[in-house]
Amino acid sequence: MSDERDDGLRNRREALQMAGAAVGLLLLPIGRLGAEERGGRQPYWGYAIDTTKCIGCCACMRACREENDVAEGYFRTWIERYQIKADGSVTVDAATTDDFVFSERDPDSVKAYFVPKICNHCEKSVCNQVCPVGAAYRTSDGVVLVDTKRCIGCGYCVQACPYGSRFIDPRTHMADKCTLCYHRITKGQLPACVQACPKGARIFGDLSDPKSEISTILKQRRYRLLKPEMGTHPKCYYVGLDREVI
Amino acid sequence: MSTRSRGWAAIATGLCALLALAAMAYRDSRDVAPAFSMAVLVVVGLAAVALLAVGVSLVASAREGRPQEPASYRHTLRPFGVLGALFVVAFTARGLAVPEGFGRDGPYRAGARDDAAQARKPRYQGAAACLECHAPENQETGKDVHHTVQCETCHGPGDAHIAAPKEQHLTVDAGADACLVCHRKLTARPGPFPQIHPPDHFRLVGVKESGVACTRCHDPHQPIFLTKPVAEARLHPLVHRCRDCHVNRTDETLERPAAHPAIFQCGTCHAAVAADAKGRRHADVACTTCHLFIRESDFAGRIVRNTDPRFCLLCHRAADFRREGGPATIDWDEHRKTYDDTLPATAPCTPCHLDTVHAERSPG
Repeated sequence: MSDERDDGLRNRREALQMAGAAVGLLLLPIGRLGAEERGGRQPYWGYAIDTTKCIGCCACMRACREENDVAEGYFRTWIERYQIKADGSVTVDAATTDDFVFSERDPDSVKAYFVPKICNHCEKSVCNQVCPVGAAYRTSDGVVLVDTKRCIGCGYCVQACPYGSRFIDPRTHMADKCTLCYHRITKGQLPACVQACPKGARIFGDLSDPKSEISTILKQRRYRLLKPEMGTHPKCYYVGLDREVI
Repeated sequence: MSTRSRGWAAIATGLCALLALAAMAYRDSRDVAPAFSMAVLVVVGLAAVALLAVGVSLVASAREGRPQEPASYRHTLRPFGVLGALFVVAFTARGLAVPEGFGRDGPYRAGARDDAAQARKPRYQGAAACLECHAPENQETGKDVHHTVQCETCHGPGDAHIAAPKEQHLTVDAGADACLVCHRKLTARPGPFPQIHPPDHFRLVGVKESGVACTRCHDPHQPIFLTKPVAEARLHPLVHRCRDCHVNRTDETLERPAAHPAIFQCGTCHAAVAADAKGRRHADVACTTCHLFIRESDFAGRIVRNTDPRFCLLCHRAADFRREGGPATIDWDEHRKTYDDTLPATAPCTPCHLDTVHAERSPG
């Protein structure tokens, strides 16, 4: 009688152990997947813009267009000019036509500066979260991209982006945006806009490398983010940005 | 429908379910999160086995000639069949709709990342690639103020040229507008950056036509003919703090607020030279026109003094577009002949002509 009960207990214990082992085996691959994503020496790309250096030549915009075949009338990166008058009124314009050359518009401004804009490649990007087909995504090296084989061109991401970084390409009817020149950075080259900048106003680098130029800048300089209150955790760091910029 | 045909239908569905199961297992062994797919495989497998069992029992009972009315156990198995069929349909549809590699790295198709990396070939090759053949040009560009400008910023992307150097040539826009993209005087363009308002510039250097290209005087590779790299030029502090000037100084006039200059100019410290320059022929020319100041940080910059004769000739070279009454024009080759060709082509102008600028060379 007591032997039988022991057997039953033993069987149950063994069965539970087996079940535990089975669950453990099932969970093993999940754990491994996570480890792959976290570990390994892979870069985490970030971008910094020193607005005090920008001369508004728009070489970045021309280079981006040449490199990425961006649709006419649309921009993956652009330069805004902020002009502040004595009464505090702010006007913003951008050189979007005529080979991207700024025209003299408001010579009576008391303060004026250029602000290059680009996709912020946010850590918590909104565009990814609204995509209904999983075509907007963020790679583990920190770049927000569009899967051109999945995008259905619904435009939710274009509306969701607080920075206006996305647009629907009229030729492909799909969302298009800055890729940080993913085809270049994966080969060890700089994004075209960074390489083209004659004044070094655009800085690109590995945030996970404490010795990279961008890490040094973030440690030493005062910088600001665009719309941090949106909770998007942008990764484009602006050095010397003034309060008028939104 | 007879019992036998129902039985065969159940067996066929069960086999289909097993096939789908095998297909999914093959797929999932490569992609989707295994824990989830394992549960699905188990459920679908059970349903398939149940279907097969029902089918076999139905066929067997039909063979034995049992009555067609269902045996008491059969209706309890029917939901398994329905459930199995639903699973098969649902997960076959899912298998077709969800792309390969979805979920491996996150909620997106894993292959998309490689697609993006291979989406196009880099067009801009970088100055290092240009230098493999064009090193001499860089010797000039490297030491002059355009050393931070990439070759391809003016010459355009070099991918085609590098692929076929003899056939594909780079064209460059040498018109004034090409230079003025960076150098036009513009609101918001930072003050220390050299900016040109063409009418003013042409008036200053005595150009009579308005459409003269910048390259008639300036070589884009060495726009101001620096003789050594900017980085090797003398560092000059920016005046920020009292002690930048008031170290070992005895002239008390500077310490009285009324007499103290609001903005520090060259002449504030170099008063003797500034006074001496007045009345000479270059009195209207700002100090920094020749002693170029290139700001490096908030505290210092480089003072670059040019000794290359071509720098002086930027204003003084004789050319057909110069108007009367502008700066004195010199035909450098003719000028050298007056010295019986003993004057080297690179001889600086200042040893003879310093008196037109200021008397002293390097005062405190």
